Amino acid sequence: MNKESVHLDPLIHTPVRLAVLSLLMAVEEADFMYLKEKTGATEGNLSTHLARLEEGGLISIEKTFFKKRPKTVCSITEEGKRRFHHYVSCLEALLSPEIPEENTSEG
Amino acid sequence: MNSHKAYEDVQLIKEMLSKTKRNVMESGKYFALWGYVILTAALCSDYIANSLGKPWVSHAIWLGAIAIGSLFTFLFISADKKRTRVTTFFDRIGGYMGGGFGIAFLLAGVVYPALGVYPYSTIPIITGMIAGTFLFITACLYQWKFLFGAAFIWWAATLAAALLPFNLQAWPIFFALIFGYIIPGHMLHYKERKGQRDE
Repeated sequence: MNKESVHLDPLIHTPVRLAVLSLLMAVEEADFMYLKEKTGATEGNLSTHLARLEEGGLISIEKTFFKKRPKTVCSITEEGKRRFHHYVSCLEALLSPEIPEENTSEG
Repeated sequence: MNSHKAYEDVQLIKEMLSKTKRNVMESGKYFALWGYVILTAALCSDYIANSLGKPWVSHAIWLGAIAIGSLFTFLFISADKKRTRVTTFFDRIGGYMGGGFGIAFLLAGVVYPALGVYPYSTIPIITGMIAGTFLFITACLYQWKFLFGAAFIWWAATLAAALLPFNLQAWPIFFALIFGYIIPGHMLHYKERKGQRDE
């Protein structure tokens, strides 16, 4: 993958959505308030981004109740994991130093 | 997209991953609970039941203790599950491991001796050895260094119990229960509370 061919996933390529997916990659599941606290996003902003990620099939959202209050629990899907890994590969490609043509042909 | 923006994305990913490091389900209270349950059962069984000269009282005490411990564990887990804000992969593995070792303790401490597989006098040695293994794996899983010490206390205590005459075997096990289970449980509980306050 060279830098010119790198195409970052537009569904992930926003700070809040990238932060949410990064958090969900490291845990089994997390509730809305946890994601809000860790990402520093506002409730409305986070809700919008979570809805986009769910529509795209990157996360699944389960809504339950705890002590008569709604509780939203999010987890990353297999598709979400696959696309997150691809996104990280793209970032690695963008950050990798250019290898001169003559060196790549050696060996 | 330029390299600077890509670098910012990588930093964001690293920052989010570091924020999830400390999130593990509270385990200290389970350690302390089972430590007190087993210590109480062991003391009652060793002194009350044996002085009465009725082995069935000892069995009843142990079965009652396991039932009470299991009931409180179930109630705590149910409450934690509803309240918890995040569940990590380690929590899931730790949960399965706790359940698996619970079954091993039940078989080794109650079922096999009752079936006559080995004498009752070997129960503390076998269950103590399993407790040491449980603590060692837990220490590896969560990288809690002080639990390694607790595991070695249990293994040393079971070795001491195996070498001592039967009437003295309970003492190293009591020592291991206090210093290898109850005190580490309270340390863990304190550490978890401190971690929550620092967040």
